[in-house]
Amino acid sequence: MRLRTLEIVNFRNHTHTVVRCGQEVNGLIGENGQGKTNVLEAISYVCLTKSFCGTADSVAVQVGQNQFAVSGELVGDSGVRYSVGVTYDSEIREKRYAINGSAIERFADVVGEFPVVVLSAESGSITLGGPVDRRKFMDFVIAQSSRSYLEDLLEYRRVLRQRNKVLMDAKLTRRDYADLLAIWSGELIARGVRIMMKRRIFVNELQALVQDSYRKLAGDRETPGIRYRPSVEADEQENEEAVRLRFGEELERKKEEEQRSAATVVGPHRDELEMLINGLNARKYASQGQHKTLLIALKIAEFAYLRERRNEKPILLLDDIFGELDTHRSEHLLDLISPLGQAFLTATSEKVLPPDINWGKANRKFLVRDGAVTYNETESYNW
Amino acid sequence: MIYTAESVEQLTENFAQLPGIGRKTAHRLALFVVKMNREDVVALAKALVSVKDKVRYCSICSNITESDPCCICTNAKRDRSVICVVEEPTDVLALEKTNEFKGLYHVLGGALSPLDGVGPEDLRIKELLKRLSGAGIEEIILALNPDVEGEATTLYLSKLLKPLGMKVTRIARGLPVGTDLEYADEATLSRALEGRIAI
Ligand SMILES: Nc1ncnc2c1ncn2[C@@H]1O[C@H](COP(=O)(O)OP(=O)(O)OP(=O)(O)O)[C@@H](O)[C@H]1O
Ligand SMILES: [Mg+2]
Ligand SMILES: [Zn+2]
Repeated sequence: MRLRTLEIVNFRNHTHTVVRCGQEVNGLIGENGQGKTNVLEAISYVCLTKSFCGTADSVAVQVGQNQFAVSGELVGDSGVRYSVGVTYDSEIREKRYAINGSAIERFADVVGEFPVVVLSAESGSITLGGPVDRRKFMDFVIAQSSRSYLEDLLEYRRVLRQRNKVLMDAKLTRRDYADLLAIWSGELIARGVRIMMKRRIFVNELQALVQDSYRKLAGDRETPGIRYRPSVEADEQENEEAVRLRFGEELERKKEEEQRSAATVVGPHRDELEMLINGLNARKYASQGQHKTLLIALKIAEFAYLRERRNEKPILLLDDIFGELDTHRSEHLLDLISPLGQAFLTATSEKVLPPDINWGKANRKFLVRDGAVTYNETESYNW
Repeated sequence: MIYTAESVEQLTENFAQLPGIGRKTAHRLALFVVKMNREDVVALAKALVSVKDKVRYCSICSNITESDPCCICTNAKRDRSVICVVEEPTDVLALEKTNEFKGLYHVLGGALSPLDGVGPEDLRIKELLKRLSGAGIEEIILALNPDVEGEATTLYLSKLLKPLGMKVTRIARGLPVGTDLEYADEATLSRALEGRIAI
Protein backbone atom coordinates (compact mmCIF):
# COMPACT_ATOMS: atom_id res chain seq x y z
CA MET A 1 0.00 0.00 0.00
CA ARG A 2 1.28 3.43 -0.89
CA LEU A 3 0.03 6.96 -0.54
CA ARG A 4 0.29 8.90 -3.77
CA THR A 5 -1.10 12.26 -2.77
CA LEU A 6 -2.22 13.85 0.44
CA GLU A 7 -4.24 17.02 0.81
CA ILE A 8 -4.79 18.63 4.20
CA VAL A 9 -7.17 21.53 4.93
CA ASN A 10 -7.60 23.32 8.27
CA PHE A 11 -5.99 20.45 10.10
CA ARG A 12 -3.72 21.37 13.06
CA ASN A 13 -1.32 24.04 11.82
CA HIS A 14 -1.82 23.10 8.16
CA THR A 15 -4.23 25.51 6.49
CA HIS A 16 -3.79 23.99 3.08
CA THR A 17 -1.04 21.49 2.39
CA VAL A 18 -0.63 19.27 -0.63
CA VAL A 19 1.94 16.49 -0.61
CA ARG A 20 2.79 14.52 -3.72
CA CYS A 21 4.55 11.57 -2.19
CA GLY A 22 7.51 9.54 -3.33
CA GLN A 23 7.06 5.82 -3.80
CA GLU A 24 9.56 4.82 -1.15
CA VAL A 25 11.08 7.10 1.45
CA ASN A 26 9.43 10.42 2.22
CA GLY A 27 11.49 12.60 4.55
CA LEU A 28 9.66 15.40 6.35
CA ILE A 29 12.30 17.78 7.62
CA GLY A 30 11.80 20.84 9.75
CA GLU A 31 12.44 22.42 13.12
CA ASN A 32 10.44 21.65 16.22
CA GLY A 33 6.78 22.61 16.19
CA GLN A 34 6.53 23.21 12.45
CA GLY A 35 3.94 20.53 11.59
CA LYS A 36 5.83 17.34 10.69
CA THR A 37 4.01 15.01 13.06
CA ASN A 38 0.77 16.64 11.97
CA VAL A 39 1.37 15.36 8.44
CA LEU A 40 1.81 11.81 9.79
CA GLU A 41 -1.34 12.27 11.84
CA ALA A 42 -3.21 13.31 8.68
CA ILE A 43 -1.97 10.14 6.95
CA SER A 44 -3.24 8.19 9.93
CA TYR A 45 -6.70 9.76 9.45
CA VAL A 46 -6.68 8.67 5.82
CA CYS A 47 -5.61 5.10 6.56
CA LEU A 48 -7.22 4.44 9.94
CA THR A 49 -9.97 7.09 10.17
CA LYS A 50 -8.31 8.49 13.27
CA SER A 51 -5.13 9.78 14.83
CA PHE A 52 -2.47 7.25 15.75
CA CYS A 53 -1.85 9.26 18.92
CA GLY A 54 -5.40 8.56 20.05
CA THR A 55 -6.26 12.24 20.38
CA ALA A 56 -9.81 13.54 19.94
CA ASP A 57 -10.93 14.68 16.49
CA SER A 58 -11.89 18.09 17.82
CA VAL A 59 -8.30 18.90 18.81
CA ALA A 60 -7.12 18.30 15.26
CA VAL A 61 -9.37 21.02 13.85
CA GLN A 62 -7.31 24.15 13.27
CA VAL A 63 -7.83 26.62 16.08
CA GLY A 64 -10.42 29.19 14.96
CA GLN A 65 -11.94 26.84 12.35
CA ASN A 66 -14.74 24.33 12.80
CA GLN A 67 -13.99 21.80 10.13
CA PHE A 68 -11.02 19.90 8.80
CA ALA A 69 -10.69 17.88 5.63
CA VAL A 70 -7.97 15.37 4.81
CA SER A 71 -7.92 13.38 1.62
CA GLY A 72 -5.51 11.05 -0.06
CA GLU A 73 -5.03 8.81 -3.02
CA LEU A 74 -3.83 5.33 -2.14
CA VAL A 75 -2.42 2.68 -4.41
CA GLY A 76 -2.53 -0.97 -3.39
CA ASP A 77 0.38 -3.31 -4.12
CA SER A 78 -1.71 -4.82 -6.91
CA GLY A 79 -2.19 -1.39 -8.46
CA VAL A 80 -5.76 -0.73 -7.31
CA ARG A 81 -6.39 2.94 -6.55
CA TYR A 82 -8.52 4.31 -3.77
CA SER A 83 -9.43 7.88 -3.11
CA VAL A 84 -10.16 8.47 0.53
CA GLY A 85 -11.62 11.55 2.20
CA VAL A 86 -12.14 12.38 5.86
CA THR A 87 -13.90 15.46 7.18
CA TYR A 88 -14.72 16.45 10.70
CA ASP A 89 -17.12 19.14 11.79
CA SER A 90 -16.54 20.16 15.39
CA GLU A 91 -19.82 22.02 15.62
CA ILE A 92 -22.03 19.03 15.06
CA ARG A 93 -19.24 16.65 16.13
CA GLU A 94 -19.58 14.68 12.96
CA LYS A 95 -16.87 12.78 11.16
CA ARG A 96 -17.37 11.54 7.62
CA TYR A 97 -15.15 9.04 5.94
CA ALA A 98 -15.52 8.02 2.31
CA ILE A 99 -13.71 5.61 0.01
CA ASN A 100 -14.07 6.35 -3.70
CA GLY A 101 -16.89 8.73 -2.95
CA SER A 102 -19.07 6.36 -0.96
CA ALA A 103 -19.51 7.11 2.71
CA ILE A 104 -18.45 4.46 5.20
CA GLU A 105 -21.01 4.18 7.98
CA ARG A 106 -18.93 2.26 10.48
CA PHE A 107 -15.33 3.32 10.84
CA ALA A 108 -14.41 -0.08 12.22
CA ASP A 109 -15.01 -1.38 8.70
CA VAL A 110 -11.96 0.55 7.51
CA VAL A 111 -9.45 -0.83 10.00
CA GLY A 112 -7.03 -3.04 8.11
CA GLU A 113 -7.99 -1.83 4.65
CA PHE A 114 -4.97 0.44 4.55
CA PRO A 115 -2.48 -1.16 6.92
CA VAL A 116 -0.08 1.12 8.77
CA VAL A 117 2.85 0.54 11.10
CA VAL A 118 3.70 3.46 13.38
CA LEU A 119 6.91 4.01 15.25
CA SER A 120 7.12 7.17 17.33
CA ALA A 121 8.47 8.32 20.67
CA GLU A 122 5.34 6.93 22.33
CA SER A 123 6.01 3.46 20.92
CA GLY A 124 8.71 3.11 23.56
CA SER A 125 5.97 2.29 26.03
CA ILE A 126 5.48 -1.07 24.32
CA THR A 127 8.60 -2.41 26.02
CA LEU A 128 8.93 0.13 28.83
CA GLY A 129 5.35 0.83 29.84
CA GLY A 130 2.62 -1.06 31.62
CA PRO A 131 0.53 -4.01 30.47
CA VAL A 132 -2.06 -1.64 29.02
CA ASP A 133 0.48 -0.35 26.48
CA ARG A 134 1.32 -3.87 25.35
CA ARG A 135 -2.34 -4.82 25.06
CA LYS A 136 -2.85 -1.73 22.90
CA PHE A 137 0.01 -2.83 20.66
CA MET A 138 -1.37 -6.35 20.38
CA ASP A 139 -4.92 -5.16 19.69
CA PHE A 140 -3.81 -2.61 17.10
CA VAL A 141 -1.97 -5.26 15.11
CA ILE A 142 -4.55 -8.04 15.38
CA ALA A 143 -7.41 -5.67 14.62
CA GLN A 144 -5.71 -4.57 11.42
CA SER A 145 -5.47 -8.19 10.33
CA SER A 146 -8.78 -9.56 11.58
CA ARG A 147 -12.12 -7.84 11.27
CA SER A 148 -13.87 -10.24 13.63
CA TYR A 149 -11.24 -9.59 16.31
CA LEU A 150 -11.99 -5.89 16.14
CA GLU A 151 -15.73 -6.54 16.38
CA ASP A 152 -15.23 -8.74 19.42
CA LEU A 153 -12.92 -6.22 21.02
CA LEU A 154 -15.32 -3.32 20.57
CA GLU A 155 -18.21 -5.37 21.90
CA TYR A 156 -16.11 -6.71 24.77
CA ARG A 157 -15.30 -3.16 25.89
CA ARG A 158 -18.95 -2.22 25.79
CA VAL A 159 -19.98 -5.34 27.73
CA LEU A 160 -17.23 -4.67 30.28
CA ARG A 161 -18.54 -1.19 30.95
CA GLN A 162 -22.09 -2.50 31.25
CA ARG A 163 -21.01 -5.25 33.61
CA ASN A 164 -18.98 -2.86 35.75
CA LYS A 165 -22.01 -0.61 35.98
CA VAL A 166 -24.10 -3.53 37.26
CA LEU A 167 -21.43 -4.23 39.89
CA MET A 168 -21.44 -0.56 40.85
CA ASP A 169 -25.24 -0.43 41.03
CA ALA A 170 -25.20 -3.55 43.18
CA LYS A 171 -22.67 -2.02 45.54
CA LEU A 172 -24.51 1.28 45.87
CA THR A 173 -28.05 -0.03 46.24
CA ARG A 174 -27.28 -3.33 47.98
CA ARG A 175 -30.00 -4.93 45.89
CA ASP A 176 -29.70 -8.36 44.38
CA TYR A 177 -28.31 -8.03 40.90
CA ALA A 178 -27.29 -11.68 40.47
CA ASP A 179 -29.61 -12.28 37.51
CA LEU A 180 -28.43 -9.26 35.58
CA LEU A 181 -24.81 -9.91 36.44
CA ALA A 182 -25.11 -13.46 35.11
CA ILE A 183 -26.43 -12.13 31.81
CA TRP A 184 -23.52 -9.74 31.39
CA SER A 185 -21.02 -12.39 32.52
CA GLY A 186 -22.27 -14.59 29.70
CA GLU A 187 -21.79 -11.79 27.18
CA LEU A 188 -18.33 -11.06 28.60
CA ILE A 189 -17.19 -14.67 28.43
CA ALA A 190 -18.49 -15.24 24.89
CA ARG A 191 -16.39 -12.41 23.48
CA GLY A 192 -13.54 -12.69 25.95
CA VAL A 193 -12.79 -16.29 24.98
CA ARG A 194 -12.63 -15.49 21.28
CA ILE A 195 -10.28 -12.59 22.03
CA MET A 196 -8.02 -14.80 24.15
CA MET A 197 -7.81 -17.52 21.52
CA LYS A 198 -6.85 -15.01 18.82
CA ARG A 199 -4.26 -13.35 21.04
CA ARG A 200 -2.67 -16.70 21.79
CA ILE A 201 -2.32 -17.54 18.11
CA PHE A 202 -1.07 -14.05 17.29
CA VAL A 203 1.66 -14.10 19.94
CA ASN A 204 2.86 -17.49 18.73
CA GLU A 205 3.16 -16.24 15.19
CA LEU A 206 4.75 -12.94 16.14
CA GLN A 207 7.30 -14.65 18.38
CA ALA A 208 9.09 -16.27 15.46
CA LEU A 209 9.10 -13.02 13.50
CA VAL A 210 10.48 -11.05 16.44
CA GLN A 211 13.27 -13.53 17.04
CA ASP A 212 14.18 -13.47 13.41
CA SER A 213 14.42 -9.69 13.13
CA TYR A 214 16.14 -9.36 16.50
CA ARG A 215 18.83 -11.75 15.35
CA LYS A 216 19.41 -9.63 12.26
CA LEU A 217 19.80 -6.53 14.39
CA ALA A 218 21.86 -7.87 17.26
CA GLY A 219 23.22 -11.23 16.26
CA ASP A 220 22.93 -14.46 18.19
CA ARG A 221 24.17 -13.22 21.56
CA GLU A 222 20.69 -12.54 22.85
CA THR A 223 17.35 -14.24 22.35
CA PRO A 224 14.18 -12.26 22.77
CA GLY A 225 10.83 -13.79 23.55
CA ILE A 226 7.25 -12.72 23.84
CA ARG A 227 4.79 -14.62 25.94
CA TYR A 228 1.06 -14.34 26.24
CA ARG A 229 -0.07 -14.25 29.86
CA PRO A 230 -3.87 -14.29 29.90
CA SER A 231 -5.55 -13.19 33.10
CA VAL A 232 -7.67 -16.31 32.86
CA GLU A 233 -4.85 -18.79 33.09
CA ALA A 234 -5.10 -21.64 30.67
CA ASP A 235 -2.75 -24.16 29.16
CA GLU A 236 -1.54 -23.60 25.63
CA GLN A 237 -3.30 -26.77 24.54
CA GLU A 238 -6.68 -25.97 26.00
CA ASN A 239 -9.44 -25.48 23.50
CA GLU A 240 -12.06 -22.77 23.36
CA GLU A 241 -14.59 -24.73 25.37
CA ALA A 242 -12.11 -25.40 28.18
CA VAL A 243 -11.10 -21.75 28.31
CA ARG A 244 -14.75 -20.76 28.44
CA LEU A 245 -15.27 -22.94 31.50
CA ARG A 246 -12.17 -21.51 33.16
CA PHE A 247 -13.31 -17.97 32.55
CA GLY A 248 -16.61 -18.77 34.25
CA GLU A 249 -14.84 -20.43 37.19
CA GLU A 250 -12.53 -17.46 37.62
CA LEU A 251 -15.42 -14.99 37.67
CA GLU A 252 -17.09 -17.18 40.28
CA ARG A 253 -13.89 -17.37 42.33
CA LYS A 254 -13.40 -13.59 42.23
CA LYS A 255 -17.01 -12.83 43.06
CA GLU A 256 -16.31 -11.19 46.37
CA GLU A 257 -13.40 -9.17 45.09
CA GLU A 258 -15.60 -7.92 42.28
CA GLN A 259 -18.33 -6.94 44.70
CA ARG A 260 -15.85 -5.04 46.84
CA SER A 261 -14.13 -3.23 44.00
CA ALA A 262 -17.25 -2.88 41.82
CA ALA A 263 -15.15 -3.84 38.81
CA THR A 264 -14.56 -6.84 36.62
CA VAL A 265 -11.20 -8.20 37.72
CA VAL A 266 -10.62 -11.06 35.27
CA GLY A 267 -10.70 -11.13 31.50
CA PRO A 268 -8.71 -10.07 28.44
CA HIS A 269 -8.68 -6.46 29.68
CA ARG A 270 -6.26 -7.70 32.33
CA ASP A 271 -4.05 -9.78 30.03
CA GLU A 272 -0.30 -9.28 29.82
CA LEU A 273 2.03 -9.68 26.87
CA GLU A 274 5.31 -10.41 28.52
CA MET A 275 8.52 -9.48 26.74
CA LEU A 276 11.77 -11.19 27.55
CA ILE A 277 15.41 -11.00 26.68
CA ASN A 278 17.37 -14.13 27.45
CA GLY A 279 14.47 -15.26 29.55
CA LEU A 280 14.42 -12.14 31.73
CA ASN A 281 11.50 -9.72 31.82
CA ALA A 282 12.52 -6.91 29.47
CA ARG A 283 10.65 -4.21 31.32
CA LYS A 284 12.56 -4.91 34.50
CA TYR A 285 15.94 -6.05 33.27
CA ALA A 286 16.69 -4.88 29.72
CA SER A 287 19.25 -2.18 29.01
CA GLN A 288 18.38 0.92 26.99
CA GLY A 289 19.98 -0.49 23.87
CA GLN A 290 18.17 -3.79 24.32
CA HIS A 291 14.89 -1.95 24.65
CA LYS A 292 15.52 -0.11 21.40
CA THR A 293 16.53 -3.27 19.56
CA LEU A 294 13.52 -5.12 20.90
CA LEU A 295 11.19 -2.30 19.85
CA ILE A 296 12.58 -2.19 16.33
CA ALA A 297 12.39 -5.98 16.12
CA LEU A 298 8.77 -5.83 17.23
CA LYS A 299 7.97 -3.22 14.61
CA ILE A 300 9.68 -5.17 11.86
CA ALA A 301 7.75 -8.24 13.00
CA GLU A 302 4.53 -6.24 13.00
CA PHE A 303 5.28 -5.13 9.46
CA ALA A 304 5.96 -8.68 8.32
CA TYR A 305 2.89 -10.02 10.11
CA LEU A 306 0.56 -7.49 8.51
CA ARG A 307 2.11 -7.90 5.09
CA GLU A 308 1.58 -11.63 5.36
CA ARG A 309 -1.96 -11.37 6.63
CA ARG A 310 -3.23 -8.61 4.38
CA ASN A 311 -1.12 -9.50 1.39
CA GLU A 312 -0.19 -5.84 1.31
CA LYS A 313 2.85 -3.91 2.52
CA PRO A 314 1.84 -1.52 5.28
CA ILE A 315 2.75 2.15 5.12
CA LEU A 316 5.44 2.95 7.68
CA LEU A 317 5.14 6.11 9.75
CA LEU A 318 8.36 6.87 11.59
CA ASP A 319 8.10 9.90 13.82
CA ASP A 320 11.35 11.35 15.12
CA ILE A 321 13.08 8.07 15.59
CA PHE A 322 16.26 8.79 13.70
CA GLY A 323 18.76 10.36 15.96
CA GLU A 324 17.24 8.15 18.61
CA LEU A 325 18.56 5.13 16.76
CA ASP A 326 22.08 4.36 15.70
CA THR A 327 22.75 4.03 11.98
CA HIS A 328 22.86 0.27 12.14
CA ARG A 329 19.35 -0.06 13.51
CA SER A 330 17.85 2.64 11.31
CA GLU A 331 19.30 1.16 8.17
CA HIS A 332 17.75 -2.18 9.02
CA LEU A 333 14.46 -0.45 9.36
CA LEU A 334 14.77 1.15 5.95
CA ASP A 335 15.84 -2.11 4.34
CA LEU A 336 12.32 -3.16 5.01
CA ILE A 337 10.80 -0.52 2.85
CA SER A 338 12.65 -1.04 -0.36
CA PRO A 339 11.96 -2.22 -2.92
CA LEU A 340 8.18 -2.19 -2.61
CA GLY A 341 7.06 -0.35 0.50
CA GLN A 342 6.64 3.24 1.45
CA ALA A 343 7.71 5.15 4.53
CA PHE A 344 7.17 8.62 5.93
CA LEU A 345 9.76 9.82 8.35
CA THR A 346 10.23 13.03 10.24
CA ALA A 347 13.45 14.60 11.43
CA THR A 348 14.63 17.98 12.60
CA SER A 349 17.63 17.76 10.34
CA GLU A 350 18.63 15.84 7.30
CA LYS A 351 21.83 14.90 9.06
CA VAL A 352 20.19 12.37 11.34
CA LEU A 353 18.70 10.41 8.44
CA PRO A 354 20.55 7.41 7.07
CA PRO A 355 23.18 8.79 4.67
CA ASP A 356 22.63 6.29 1.89
CA ILE A 357 19.13 7.39 0.93
CA ASN A 358 19.17 8.29 -2.72
CA TRP A 359 17.01 11.41 -2.80
CA GLY A 360 15.23 11.98 -6.07
CA LYS A 361 12.36 10.27 -7.70
CA ALA A 362 11.28 7.44 -5.41
CA ASN A 363 12.66 9.12 -2.31
CA ARG A 364 11.45 12.60 -1.63
CA LYS A 365 12.59 15.23 0.80
CA PHE A 366 10.02 17.75 2.03
CA LEU A 367 10.70 20.85 4.05
CA VAL A 368 8.11 21.58 6.71
CA ARG A 369 7.82 25.08 8.06
CA ASP A 370 4.98 26.76 9.90
CA GLY A 371 2.31 24.41 8.57
CA ALA A 372 3.54 24.52 4.98
CA VAL A 373 5.26 21.71 3.10
CA THR A 374 7.59 22.51 0.24
CA TYR A 375 9.30 20.23 -2.19
CA ASN A 376 11.87 20.93 -4.78
CA GLU A 377 9.98 19.56 -7.75
CA THR A 378 12.63 18.79 -10.29
CA GLU A 379 11.68 15.22 -11.03
CA SER A 380 8.55 14.47 -13.00
CA TYR A 381 5.71 13.02 -10.99
CA ASN A 382 4.05 10.25 -12.83
CA TRP A 383 3.25 7.21 -10.74
CA MET B 1 -25.32 37.10 16.68
CA ILE B 2 -26.26 40.72 17.27
CA TYR B 3 -27.54 41.21 13.76
CA THR B 4 -30.30 38.67 13.94
CA ALA B 5 -33.91 38.96 15.09
CA GLU B 6 -34.93 37.58 18.45
CA SER B 7 -37.56 35.26 16.97
CA VAL B 8 -34.97 33.77 14.62
CA GLU B 9 -32.74 33.22 17.62
CA GLN B 10 -35.55 31.44 19.44
CA LEU B 11 -36.31 29.18 16.49
CA THR B 12 -32.60 28.42 16.13
CA GLU B 13 -32.56 27.31 19.76
CA ASN B 14 -35.55 25.07 19.14
CA PHE B 15 -34.05 23.46 16.06
CA ALA B 16 -30.75 22.95 17.84
CA GLN B 17 -32.53 20.72 20.38
CA LEU B 18 -33.29 18.18 17.66
CA PRO B 19 -30.91 15.21 17.37
CA GLY B 20 -28.04 15.60 14.92
CA ILE B 21 -28.57 19.32 14.43
CA GLY B 22 -25.82 21.70 15.46
CA ARG B 23 -26.19 25.44 15.99
CA LYS B 24 -25.01 26.34 12.51
CA THR B 25 -27.49 24.03 10.79
CA ALA B 26 -30.22 25.17 13.17
CA HIS B 27 -29.53 28.76 12.20
CA ARG B 28 -29.66 27.88 8.53
CA LEU B 29 -32.98 26.10 9.01
CA ALA B 30 -34.40 29.09 10.86
CA LEU B 31 -33.39 31.43 8.05
CA PHE B 32 -34.97 29.04 5.59
CA VAL B 33 -38.23 29.27 7.48
CA VAL B 34 -38.05 33.07 7.12
CA LYS B 35 -37.95 32.59 3.36
CA MET B 36 -40.77 30.02 3.20
CA ASN B 37 -44.38 30.79 2.13
CA ARG B 38 -46.66 31.57 5.03
CA GLU B 39 -48.97 28.65 4.15
CA ASP B 40 -46.09 26.18 4.20
CA VAL B 41 -44.91 27.46 7.55
CA VAL B 42 -48.42 27.14 8.99
CA ALA B 43 -48.70 23.61 7.57
CA LEU B 44 -45.37 22.68 9.17
CA ALA B 45 -46.38 24.12 12.53
CA LYS B 46 -49.72 22.33 12.39
CA ALA B 47 -48.09 19.05 11.46
CA LEU B 48 -45.80 19.33 14.49
CA VAL B 49 -48.65 20.00 16.89
CA SER B 50 -50.86 17.34 15.37
CA VAL B 51 -48.19 14.66 15.80
CA LYS B 52 -47.95 15.56 19.44
CA ASP B 53 -51.73 15.69 19.96
CA LYS B 54 -52.76 12.65 17.98
CA VAL B 55 -50.04 10.11 18.36
CA ARG B 56 -49.91 7.98 21.47
CA TYR B 57 -48.73 4.52 22.47
CA CYS B 58 -50.94 1.51 21.89
CA SER B 59 -52.15 0.19 25.26
CA ILE B 60 -51.56 -3.39 24.11
CA CYS B 61 -48.31 -3.44 22.14
CA SER B 62 -46.88 0.04 22.90
CA ASN B 63 -46.36 0.86 19.26
CA ILE B 64 -47.09 4.44 18.24
CA THR B 65 -50.60 4.87 16.95
CA GLU B 66 -53.40 7.38 16.41
CA SER B 67 -56.13 5.01 17.52
CA ASP B 68 -55.84 2.86 20.60
CA PRO B 69 -55.48 -0.14 20.24
CA CYS B 70 -53.39 0.18 17.11
CA CYS B 71 -54.39 -1.12 13.70
CA ILE B 72 -52.11 -4.14 14.03
CA CYS B 73 -53.52 -5.21 17.37
CA THR B 74 -57.11 -4.81 16.08
CA ASN B 75 -56.52 -6.42 12.68
CA ALA B 76 -58.47 -9.69 12.65
CA LYS B 77 -56.29 -11.07 9.86
CA ARG B 78 -53.11 -11.06 11.92
CA ASP B 79 -51.85 -14.25 13.48
CA ARG B 80 -52.59 -13.92 17.19
CA SER B 81 -50.46 -16.89 18.18
CA VAL B 82 -47.14 -15.14 17.51
CA ILE B 83 -45.69 -12.05 19.17
CA CYS B 84 -42.57 -10.39 17.86
CA VAL B 85 -40.71 -8.42 20.54
CA VAL B 86 -38.80 -5.35 19.34
CA GLU B 87 -37.01 -2.41 20.95
CA GLU B 88 -38.61 0.60 19.27
CA PRO B 89 -41.58 1.58 17.08
CA THR B 90 -39.16 2.13 14.17
CA ASP B 91 -38.38 -1.60 14.31
CA VAL B 92 -42.06 -2.42 13.81
CA LEU B 93 -42.01 -0.24 10.72
CA ALA B 94 -38.90 -1.98 9.39
CA LEU B 95 -40.37 -5.44 9.94
CA GLU B 96 -43.73 -4.48 8.44
CA LYS B 97 -41.96 -3.38 5.28
CA THR B 98 -40.70 -6.92 4.73
CA ASN B 99 -44.30 -8.16 4.41
CA GLU B 100 -42.99 -11.34 5.96
CA PHE B 101 -44.40 -11.23 9.44
CA LYS B 102 -48.14 -11.57 10.03
CA GLY B 103 -48.27 -11.82 13.80
CA LEU B 104 -48.46 -9.23 16.57
CA TYR B 105 -45.77 -7.01 18.08
CA HIS B 106 -44.60 -5.93 21.47
CA VAL B 107 -42.47 -2.80 21.75
CA LEU B 108 -40.19 -2.87 24.79
CA GLY B 109 -39.14 0.75 24.60
CA GLY B 110 -35.41 0.03 24.57
CA ALA B 111 -32.94 -2.60 25.71
CA LEU B 112 -31.17 -3.39 28.97
CA SER B 113 -28.36 -0.93 29.46
CA PRO B 114 -27.02 -0.38 32.98
CA LEU B 115 -24.88 2.48 31.66
CA ASP B 116 -27.99 4.34 30.56
CA GLY B 117 -29.81 3.42 33.75
CA VAL B 118 -32.15 1.09 31.87
CA GLY B 119 -33.03 -2.00 33.91
CA PRO B 120 -35.75 -4.62 33.39
CA GLU B 121 -38.29 -2.48 35.24
CA ASP B 122 -37.77 0.34 32.73
CA LEU B 123 -38.80 -1.85 29.79
CA ARG B 124 -42.33 -2.98 29.07
CA ILE B 125 -41.63 -6.50 30.27
CA LYS B 126 -44.42 -6.71 32.84
CA GLU B 127 -46.87 -5.74 30.11
CA LEU B 128 -45.46 -8.49 27.91
CA LEU B 129 -45.86 -11.11 30.62
CA LYS B 130 -49.43 -9.98 31.15
CA ARG B 131 -50.17 -10.42 27.45
CA LEU B 132 -48.73 -13.90 27.58
CA SER B 133 -50.90 -14.97 30.49
CA GLY B 134 -53.87 -14.68 28.15
CA ALA B 135 -54.43 -17.78 26.05
CA GLY B 136 -53.36 -18.62 22.56
CA ILE B 137 -49.76 -17.40 22.30
CA GLU B 138 -47.57 -20.15 20.89
CA GLU B 139 -44.41 -18.40 19.80
CA ILE B 140 -42.40 -15.39 20.90
CA ILE B 141 -39.86 -14.04 18.42
CA LEU B 142 -37.19 -11.88 19.97
CA ALA B 143 -36.12 -9.39 17.31
CA LEU B 144 -33.84 -7.03 19.19
CA ASN B 145 -30.93 -5.11 17.75
CA PRO B 146 -27.77 -7.15 17.09
CA ASP B 147 -25.66 -5.17 19.58
CA VAL B 148 -24.52 -6.16 23.06
CA GLU B 149 -27.53 -4.56 24.74
CA GLY B 150 -29.95 -6.26 22.38
CA GLU B 151 -28.23 -9.57 22.95
CA ALA B 152 -28.24 -9.21 26.72
CA THR B 153 -31.94 -8.33 26.63
CA THR B 154 -32.62 -11.35 24.42
CA LEU B 155 -30.86 -13.56 26.95
CA TYR B 156 -32.71 -11.99 29.86
CA LEU B 157 -36.10 -12.39 28.20
CA SER B 158 -35.49 -15.94 27.10
CA LYS B 159 -34.63 -16.95 30.67
CA LEU B 160 -37.84 -15.32 31.77
CA LEU B 161 -40.04 -16.71 29.01
CA LYS B 162 -38.85 -20.26 28.59
CA PRO B 163 -40.39 -21.57 31.82
CA LEU B 164 -43.76 -20.36 30.53
CA GLY B 165 -43.79 -23.21 28.07
CA MET B 166 -44.14 -21.44 24.74
CA LYS B 167 -41.71 -21.56 21.86
CA VAL B 168 -39.10 -18.81 22.14
CA THR B 169 -37.02 -17.91 19.08
CA ARG B 170 -34.66 -15.15 18.11
CA ILE B 171 -33.99 -13.76 14.69
CA ALA B 172 -30.85 -15.06 13.04
CA ARG B 173 -27.76 -12.98 13.59
CA GLY B 174 -27.44 -12.55 9.84
CA LEU B 175 -27.65 -8.83 10.29
CA PRO B 176 -24.29 -7.16 9.95
CA VAL B 177 -22.93 -6.41 13.42
CA GLY B 178 -23.86 -2.99 14.65
CA THR B 179 -26.68 -2.49 12.15
CA ASP B 180 -29.84 -1.50 13.93
CA LEU B 181 -32.98 -3.20 12.71
CA GLU B 182 -34.32 0.03 11.34
CA TYR B 183 -31.34 0.36 8.99
CA ALA B 184 -31.30 -3.21 7.75
CA ASP B 185 -32.60 -3.65 4.24
CA GLU B 186 -35.77 -5.62 3.69
CA ALA B 187 -34.14 -8.66 2.13
CA THR B 188 -31.68 -9.05 5.02
CA LEU B 189 -34.45 -8.60 7.53
CA SER B 190 -36.66 -11.19 5.81
CA ARG B 191 -33.80 -13.66 5.86
CA ALA B 192 -33.14 -12.96 9.54
CA LEU B 193 -36.78 -13.57 10.28
CA GLU B 194 -36.97 -16.78 8.27
CA GLY B 195 -33.78 -18.14 9.76
CA ARG B 196 -34.88 -17.58 13.33
CA ILE B 197 -33.54 -20.02 15.83
CA ALA B 198 -35.01 -21.54 18.93
CA ILE B 199 -33.41 -20.60 22.24
N1 LIG C 1 -5.53 22.37 16.29
C1 LIG C 1 -4.44 23.11 15.99
N2 LIG C 1 -4.59 24.30 15.35
C2 LIG C 1 -3.51 25.04 15.03
N3 LIG C 1 -2.26 24.69 15.32
C3 LIG C 1 -2.05 23.53 15.96
C4 LIG C 1 -3.13 22.68 16.32
N4 LIG C 1 -2.65 21.59 16.96
C5 LIG C 1 -1.31 21.76 16.99
N5 LIG C 1 -0.94 22.91 16.40
C6 LIG C 1 0.40 23.45 16.23
O1 LIG C 1 1.14 22.53 15.47
C7 LIG C 1 2.49 22.61 15.89
C8 LIG C 1 3.02 21.25 16.22
O2 LIG C 1 3.06 20.52 15.07
P1 LIG C 1 3.79 19.11 15.06
O3 LIG C 1 3.47 18.37 16.29
O4 LIG C 1 3.49 18.51 13.76
O5 LIG C 1 5.29 19.59 15.14
P2 LIG C 1 6.59 18.83 14.66
O6 LIG C 1 7.06 19.47 13.43
O7 LIG C 1 6.35 17.39 14.64
O8 LIG C 1 7.56 19.24 15.84
P3 LIG C 1 8.60 18.37 16.72
O9 LIG C 1 9.82 18.28 15.92
O10 LIG C 1 8.76 19.21 17.92
O11 LIG C 1 7.95 17.06 16.99
C9 LIG C 1 2.56 23.46 17.12
O12 LIG C 1 3.06 24.72 16.75
C10 LIG C 1 1.12 23.57 17.54
O13 LIG C 1 0.83 24.79 18.15
MG1 LIG D 1 6.78 15.86 16.00
ZN1 LIG E 1 -50.94 -2.33 19.29
